[in-house]
Amino acid sequence: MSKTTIKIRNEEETRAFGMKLGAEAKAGTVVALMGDLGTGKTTLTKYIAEGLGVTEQITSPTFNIIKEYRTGRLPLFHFDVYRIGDVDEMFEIGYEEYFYGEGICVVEWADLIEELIPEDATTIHITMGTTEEERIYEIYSGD
Amino acid sequence: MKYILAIETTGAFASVALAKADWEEGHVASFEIACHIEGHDRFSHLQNLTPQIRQAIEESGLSIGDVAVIAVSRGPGSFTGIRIGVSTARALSQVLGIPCAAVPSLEAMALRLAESQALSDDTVICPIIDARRSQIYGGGFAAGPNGELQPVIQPGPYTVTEFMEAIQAKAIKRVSFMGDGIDKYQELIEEGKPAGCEITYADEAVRYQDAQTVARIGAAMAAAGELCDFAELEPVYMRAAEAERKLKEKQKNG
Amino acid sequence: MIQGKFAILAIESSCDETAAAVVLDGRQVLSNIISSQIEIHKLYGGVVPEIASRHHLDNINHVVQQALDEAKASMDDIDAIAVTYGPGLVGALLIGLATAKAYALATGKPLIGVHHIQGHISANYIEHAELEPPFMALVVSGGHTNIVEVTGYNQCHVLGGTRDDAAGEAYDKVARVLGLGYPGGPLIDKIAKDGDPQAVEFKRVFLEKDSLDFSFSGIKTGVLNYVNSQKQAGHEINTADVAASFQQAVLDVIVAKTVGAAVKMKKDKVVMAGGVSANSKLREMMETECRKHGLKLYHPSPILCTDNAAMIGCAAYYKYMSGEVNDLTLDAIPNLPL
Repeated sequence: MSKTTIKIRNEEETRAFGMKLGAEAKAGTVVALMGDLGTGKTTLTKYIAEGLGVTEQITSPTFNIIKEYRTGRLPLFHFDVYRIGDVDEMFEIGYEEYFYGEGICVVEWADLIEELIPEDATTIHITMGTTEEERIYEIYSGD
Repeated sequence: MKYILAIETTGAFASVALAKADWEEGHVASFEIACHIEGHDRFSHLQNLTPQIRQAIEESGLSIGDVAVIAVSRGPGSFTGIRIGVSTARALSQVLGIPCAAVPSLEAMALRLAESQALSDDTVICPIIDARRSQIYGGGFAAGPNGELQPVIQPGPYTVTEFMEAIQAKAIKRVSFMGDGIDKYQELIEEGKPAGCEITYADEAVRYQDAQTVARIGAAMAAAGELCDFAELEPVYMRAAEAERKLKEKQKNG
Repeated sequence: MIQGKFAILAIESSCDETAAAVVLDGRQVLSNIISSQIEIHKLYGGVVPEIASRHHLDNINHVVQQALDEAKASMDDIDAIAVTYGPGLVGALLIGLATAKAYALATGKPLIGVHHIQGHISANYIEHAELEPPFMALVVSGGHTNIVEVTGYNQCHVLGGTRDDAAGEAYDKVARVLGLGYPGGPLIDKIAKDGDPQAVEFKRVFLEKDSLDFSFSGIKTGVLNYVNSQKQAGHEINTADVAASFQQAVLDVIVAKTVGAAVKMKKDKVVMAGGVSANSKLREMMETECRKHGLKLYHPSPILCTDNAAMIGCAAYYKYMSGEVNDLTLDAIPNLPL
């Protein structure tokens, strides 16, 4: 498990980071995003999707819990587990088939179900930087 | 003469069988497969199951009202597959007013191999289903005194290592593996093979789940008075032990 | 047939709720059962947080039986089975769909698949006997925010949608920031009544000229930044004022775009649908704006705004009447386009 900390100065840099992640993601990749409201988890996901070649609009999965996108290089499963936050309920929605399947999973509020995140997942803790635009990404790489 | 409709959706391919059977208390007097429909699209159960059932009914020259019992493979296996099979069975049972047989999936698999091959008496049939992360749903079955299958290794969630240890602990000398767990974990199985234990792997033609043995076990359950109402028909997921362990740990630590 | 009318048993399980209903000739509701509402009445008689949400496999058969019982009907009386097949959460949709398909097979009756948003729009046909297309529709809920041009019972055209949060999600997130609880919409609606909508200036996001799309994540960030900066400066936050100001910023945009679209496309009726259309401030503002332009406004009663199966039965009726049914290969489509 390796840790990297990077400073993201603005949305352009978020885009570059996200697109690279999306372009390099393999089948079965799980990206766990942890950070408060407003730290830009969905924004980052949009750019990961762009890096994957997804042509559909990425919208918030907060209500729907999981949104699926199949126009990219690999299927993208975008989770927001805020409304679940419970290991039993995660099981009930079939999380295993997604996390250990053939697509890419990006999971917002992953800290709420930390014990279910695969060991080889990439975990990104996002915190606010010193300006409104700035973010700090603490990246833990599983492999 | 009663008709049993059997549904199997716990594996990659859905299958349906219609069986004609006669039973009385504790004893199946006759059993015959009337129709068997095998699916060919991987993990397309939601699309294909109901049309397959209709096809089985039509090809048998029956109407859906002729079905007396719904036998469904209850799990373990594919989470989504189990739910599609169980929902379908419950709905049919509810409308038709007929009972259900919640057939244990691993046992139905083992029966398939037992029926199809001449296996020596001391062979233990071990169906194993991939549960990901080197984990399986597995069990070990041997022929009992009356030819029926009896569990020798308790059906449940195991890591592959744990399962091989269970084989060793029971001093089992001959094992025939089946199920998609072989496709994934053959190497791990070979690594964990106890000394003096002979392991074979089922031919691909009979390696996976199929509705015909679900029907047969359904008939046996009917004879044994083990049928249930649609409201009592529950899926059996056998959640992987690791998640349970981690959850218990978390609860302990507050 | 029931009372000489075409009877549809409808099932809805696209996300949180397991719901079933019996609807006659598309507009007469004999029963409208929603899983969470059963729990409410059974246990508390008040508002409770998500009870038995998404426990579709446990709920579905019981909910259907209740719908039939309340309608004093049996499966034999039912002429068709309707079910939501998208959009939504796949694991939830599949329970309703597998069940509906099995019912259709067992009864030999036709199966009608319905789009969830089409269902929301159709809730208004139940509420308002005289309402007929064409009209401009605004669908606002936890999961959706769309402006839809409805030209026929089975013809509509999405003119705009959200690019990030649905209106309901924006409300929920701001309610979280303000420490108000869930679901955020009704709580903000209530507390905003005591607040000053001009107290805080939040940016109204209209996007490009003539766009009928929405973007609410900026307003959410605006509220967050405001609350944080006030806290840092040691100032007290007037929650009612912030709630009212947030709401004004969101609704200004929704109302302007919807009514603007209706005027531009020469519709004389505007129809609201979805959970957020129960919001009192939104209704008030829509009524004012519609009256200004001589447009008639329609919205459903609260029970029909929320996810329910009666609206699905209604949409299904018109689909069936146009000669369209689905076959038993119907699949769940989580991204189903309108």
